[in-house]
Amino acid sequence: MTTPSEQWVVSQLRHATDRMPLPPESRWVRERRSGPTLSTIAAVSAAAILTIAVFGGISALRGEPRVVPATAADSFALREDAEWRLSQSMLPSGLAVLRPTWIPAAFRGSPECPSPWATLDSLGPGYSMRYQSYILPNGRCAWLVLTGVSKIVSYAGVSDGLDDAGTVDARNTVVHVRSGTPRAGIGSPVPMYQIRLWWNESGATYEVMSNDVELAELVRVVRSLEPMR
Amino acid sequence: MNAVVVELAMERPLWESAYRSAFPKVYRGLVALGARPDEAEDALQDAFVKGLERSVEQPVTSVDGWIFVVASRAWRGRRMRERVFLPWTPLLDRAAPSEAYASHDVLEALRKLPLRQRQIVVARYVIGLSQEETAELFRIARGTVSATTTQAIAALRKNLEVEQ
Repeated sequence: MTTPSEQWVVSQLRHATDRMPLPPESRWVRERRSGPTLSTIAAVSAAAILTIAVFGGISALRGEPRVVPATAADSFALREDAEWRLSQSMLPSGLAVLRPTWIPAAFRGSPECPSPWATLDSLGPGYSMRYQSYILPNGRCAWLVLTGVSKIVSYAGVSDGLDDAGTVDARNTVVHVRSGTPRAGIGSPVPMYQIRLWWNESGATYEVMSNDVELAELVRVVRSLEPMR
Repeated sequence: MNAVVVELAMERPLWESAYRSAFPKVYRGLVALGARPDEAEDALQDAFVKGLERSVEQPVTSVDGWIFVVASRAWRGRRMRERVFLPWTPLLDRAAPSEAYASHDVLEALRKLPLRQRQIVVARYVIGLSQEETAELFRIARGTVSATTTQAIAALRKNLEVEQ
């Protein structure tokens, strides 16, 4: 700030915002709902069994393996679709957003670990989608993350505690595998073993990684990726 | 504002304490950006949850700034989702957040600025971030922060018809 009029603008802004009423402190952090009662558990279990029976029967009749998303109508599919479209809409053109047509079913999320989350890195040249499943022994959610950046990058030899662990053939290119336990930050929970797959494709770099998915399933995720339209 | 490197992936009580400390400034900053009060609350809750789930390898230099950036993205994300799922939803950007807030000329003038200018001005003067912190959190050059701030203040001054 150099001129009195600029200082005046800033002081007016601060004055106006300082006068804004705040919501009650009790609403600043929304507590999780209390645990379900036995009757609720029974009702939910019955509904789940019925749902499995109905959709299981349909799947059997169709003779197709169940993949994620299962149906266009379920809430996970709606959320997943919205999050991917959000990522795509915030990216510069030229970067192909690769969306999986298959993920492990456990990564449809849970009450403690909602899934998926677009990290909304709209100000950077890339995207990141985080699928989650359940709480791990270290108290954090198990995750499966897919990223893409609009430039060629090499993650080989990066000193983050993971080791280069070979390559696999997929997507008509060489997919590099890194695995290991990353170094822990001060005050951080115990880090979990991770597997990360990365490759270059069409002038971009993509990575699929997880702290709770086997290599074979990660490769399956990579092979299922399709560019969004 | 915490000026030291803070590991956000910490125990919940510590994180909740930092979040509660940041809440008033960030809430007001979001409303100044153009969020409705209920949207600001939802966006802050999103940021709180994301802070709990944040990767352990990503320290930040300002908790307040991190919450502001994550919450403002969450707010924009919710807006976009409203438009995806409810194409008949009116363009809420054009709606005044509330009568109480809309009475301030400077906030009305602020909402006429492009989103990026609004974000930078709020980050600098409502949240209280330095140029360096703003540049880091928005992943832009410090010079861009400086230039954008100058342009935004000039536009605000013009809108408010401040006498030189």
